[in-house]
Amino acid sequence: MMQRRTFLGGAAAVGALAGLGMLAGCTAAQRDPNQIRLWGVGGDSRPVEKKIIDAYGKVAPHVSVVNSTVPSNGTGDATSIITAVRGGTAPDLWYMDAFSCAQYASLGLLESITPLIEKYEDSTFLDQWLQFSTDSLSLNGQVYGLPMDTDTRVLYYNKRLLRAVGVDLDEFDPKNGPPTIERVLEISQKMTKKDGRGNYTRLGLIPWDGEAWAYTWSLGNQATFFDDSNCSIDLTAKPILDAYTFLYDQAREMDFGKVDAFKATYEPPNHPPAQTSFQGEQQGFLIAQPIVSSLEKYVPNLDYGYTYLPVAHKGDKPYTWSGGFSLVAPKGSSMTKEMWDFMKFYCGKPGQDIYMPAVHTVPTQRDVLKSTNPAIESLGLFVDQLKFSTSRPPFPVSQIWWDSMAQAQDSVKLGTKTPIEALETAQARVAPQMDLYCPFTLPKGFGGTGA
Amino acid sequence: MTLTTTTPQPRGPEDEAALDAPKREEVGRARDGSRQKWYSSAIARILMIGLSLLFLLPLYWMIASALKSGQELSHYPPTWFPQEFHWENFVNAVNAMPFWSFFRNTAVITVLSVIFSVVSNFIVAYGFACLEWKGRDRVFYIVLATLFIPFPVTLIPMFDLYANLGWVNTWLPLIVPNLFASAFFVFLLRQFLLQIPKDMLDAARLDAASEWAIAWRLVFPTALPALTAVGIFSAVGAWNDFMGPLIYLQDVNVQTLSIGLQAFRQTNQQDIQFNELMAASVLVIAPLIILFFVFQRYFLKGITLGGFK
Amino acid sequence: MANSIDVVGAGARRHSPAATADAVRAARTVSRRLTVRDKKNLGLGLLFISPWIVGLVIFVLYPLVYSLVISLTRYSGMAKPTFVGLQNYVTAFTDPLVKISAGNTLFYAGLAVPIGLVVAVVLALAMNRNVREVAWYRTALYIPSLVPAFALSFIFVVFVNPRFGVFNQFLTLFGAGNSNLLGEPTSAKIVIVLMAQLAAGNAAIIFLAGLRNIPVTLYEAARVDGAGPVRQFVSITLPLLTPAILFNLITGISGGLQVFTQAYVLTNGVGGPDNGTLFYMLYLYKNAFSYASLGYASALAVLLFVVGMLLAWLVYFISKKFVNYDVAAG
Repeated sequence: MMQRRTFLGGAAAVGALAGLGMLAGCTAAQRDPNQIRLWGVGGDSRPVEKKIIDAYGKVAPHVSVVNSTVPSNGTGDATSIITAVRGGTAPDLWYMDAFSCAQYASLGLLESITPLIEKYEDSTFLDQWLQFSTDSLSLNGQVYGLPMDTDTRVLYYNKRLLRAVGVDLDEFDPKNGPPTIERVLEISQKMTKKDGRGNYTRLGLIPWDGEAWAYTWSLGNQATFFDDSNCSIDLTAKPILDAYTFLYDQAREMDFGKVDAFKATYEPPNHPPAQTSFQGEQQGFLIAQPIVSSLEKYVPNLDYGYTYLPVAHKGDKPYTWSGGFSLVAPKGSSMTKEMWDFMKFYCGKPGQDIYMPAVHTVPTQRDVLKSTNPAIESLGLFVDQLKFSTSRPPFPVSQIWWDSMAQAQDSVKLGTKTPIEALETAQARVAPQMDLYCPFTLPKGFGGTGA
Repeated sequence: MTLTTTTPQPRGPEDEAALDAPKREEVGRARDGSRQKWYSSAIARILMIGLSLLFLLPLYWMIASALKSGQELSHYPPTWFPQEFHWENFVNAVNAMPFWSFFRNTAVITVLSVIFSVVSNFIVAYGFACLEWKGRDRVFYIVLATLFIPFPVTLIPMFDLYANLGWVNTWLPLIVPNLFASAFFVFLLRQFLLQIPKDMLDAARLDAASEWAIAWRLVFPTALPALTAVGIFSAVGAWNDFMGPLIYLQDVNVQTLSIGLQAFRQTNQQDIQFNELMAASVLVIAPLIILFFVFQRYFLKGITLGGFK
Repeated sequence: MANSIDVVGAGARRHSPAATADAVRAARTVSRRLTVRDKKNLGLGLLFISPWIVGLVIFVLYPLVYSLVISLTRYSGMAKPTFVGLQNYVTAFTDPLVKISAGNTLFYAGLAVPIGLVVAVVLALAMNRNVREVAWYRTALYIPSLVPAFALSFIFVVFVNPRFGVFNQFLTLFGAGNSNLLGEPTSAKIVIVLMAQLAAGNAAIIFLAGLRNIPVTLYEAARVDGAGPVRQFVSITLPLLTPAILFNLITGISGGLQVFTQAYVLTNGVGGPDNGTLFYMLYLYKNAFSYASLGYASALAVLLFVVGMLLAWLVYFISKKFVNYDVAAG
């Protein structure tokens, strides 16, 4: 009897192993040149992406696009792509945050598409996209991807709250140019309300909230973040220091702890997208990307407008910055003509014509920008100010640079470090990393803005 | 064998269900240590219910959020009870991903992981607890030490290995490691198996039973509460695992529910469909809740340690 | 331990096969050399643990050696590694973020491990109640352990809301204004410790399994002896729960040193405010996969492993004095 049990146990183990072998067997598929493997967009934009793929199916019926969602852990987290490239299982094309491009390219995670451009296209090929968007996908003279959507930052304001403190709304019409920081803060002060215990119940502009990074204010001070002449980053430069000093002073004046409590009350971390203090009319000003479609969805009755980011002096030129996504070819991608044609279709006019109106985001393809589609036209200022926009510098240390800047901002807000101390800490972290990649220059003409 | 003929001793109050009522009551008193007045049991019950409600809050919040409309989610302060029930959120959540295919994949991975893990960990723990051999406790320290290896550094070498084996886009990297025991479970089972009196094992050995038979026929049923814990942990671990499926399963045909949930959270403009995300989360954990409810009763079947008397 | 329990235990041990076995064992210990029987036992032992040995080589030694080698290089995961000697270790000892993240982790573990043990014991006692509907209690108390961490964080931010969250309501009783508990480095860590307690169900079911191991006869005997509930808990429940306590202590330390998910979810991987929740593991992970400094990350991992091993050794050898595996004899 004991033996029978042992035998049965052994048989079960052998059976299990055989089953596993079969599981393994069914996967070793050959690569079909007419099959393009794509790691595409996530979430609710997927149906729109499917329309692009379906449309391409009509243009090139012999090609099949296999689309998978491989969600990342978060922005700047390359776990899945690093492992996939090493294991030789990376897709042909990957939908990626353009901000990460220079860093991933310098690591060797991406294929340069410059040879494909040289082989199949003419010299003006890249001009069909906005310059900063292709710049952000360049490294050392090579191009690593094609741009898809983008955005710009604007100042949103709540019309009802502005009227209540006696502001003529005409003042915030974009045709009158950017408002000054001073004026926005002055109105903010009038809007501010506190309860009996001294807690804020309403605020105007919170100078570090939303997309109002110290980076954003630095841009307004005409900061450059990289010096091509000696391959260096100087985070303690005056325009940057001024921006951090501005935040430091504001945080002390407004009492950071109380503002933070206000924010956490009305817009707690990990809040549902519908629950923000701007949507709840507790906050009169907000610096953000295009959030128009979500405002329409959640608070259709909100009376709001938006204009250029506030500037230091009346008459200063508008400024803003853009992010966005792109299609890149990870190392090991097939790099075939079929793939290239699909990539052009996806990021070019046909793909952007399908994608942008549906997801209410800003195109990077110039013909699409000029389109008369009401959804594109309604983007108004977001598109108009593209000519003043730039992107974060495409250098190999982008992630650690951004994290260090954000960390310095945290210290300055809480007041645990003075602005110069905080920036020196950031500098000490970023500079040695950058040194590893020198010599290096940014794309020609980077930092110059213009659509 | 003598062991199977011994009468089970009462291990806990619930085992007494089959016995007559007065005795059941008496054992209850014994466990609680004193005679209970009606009001003290009422107070205990109120405390228990309060504690349970506190721990049910996350689930309640998930369900309530899942039933709200997008606009209701913007209410400040948040409403505790949905004004209207939007059941369609659940439908949308299921339709937003290949839910049933993900469900099946996750279930297969989980079931195989649990079986392999219970069997392999039990065998190894038996070796560390019920057999006596020179150097055993020193070797066991190595088991403990391996609990402290940080997971990020194992990701890349393990991926390289599986990629070389051609196992990417299969379930093998998620299932096969369970065949080789894990420090956590071996440690857990060992702690319980060590409590089994040596006399009982030695008696069985004198009866000329093989170790294999003693392990499975005597010790395995005895260790059921701890094995249940191992089964539950490995089921929850496999079901909710995100990092493994993330790097090994790139093809939609083999992906799991946790990937589907994460994809939900990643949209342009951070405009997450919060209610649908919550609906999907509720659907994902519902099978685990049911599973736990069913299997928790194995904690009742106290081991029959007293039986060898 | 109480005398009454020894009486029960002694009764249990008087049994003829057991006595014979005792004799066999005594005979065995006479010879310190490896006898034929010892060799046979060793072989049998190794046979039983052989799955683990294979796993050790594949899943532990291979990645560990790999990390050790990589930790001596500068390596992005893609290009060829550059040998840099002990440079990464030198950097680790001077990197201010290592100091901050190690401090955060020790702070977390120092609070979370003891609190976690107490909460888990309380939950286990609740799960072990002698009532008909106990299955419901068990399930309710365990459910938060089934919920993905990101979903737990959604409810937790409601608890800590500065205005209507329970914690702030409590603080307001003492005249404090509203404050963002997640906005200040120390209180943010405490919030994460508290959030981790929602998942105490895991440790609790191990304690529950331990409680089910304790023979009811011990309690009956103690009651005859006139021991009250506190006395019973201290002299029966606690000593016989020590194997489970040792387990939860060591895995608690391991989990505490490697705390990652809660911080990753609550702060979106940033580790804020002001690096207040930048835990060691989070920093290690970011170095590996956000900054592609795999060499440095490996060095950090090796250091963590060494610290963990030392702690495990300490606890394991101290434990031999207090852990009681003998249910019957006490």
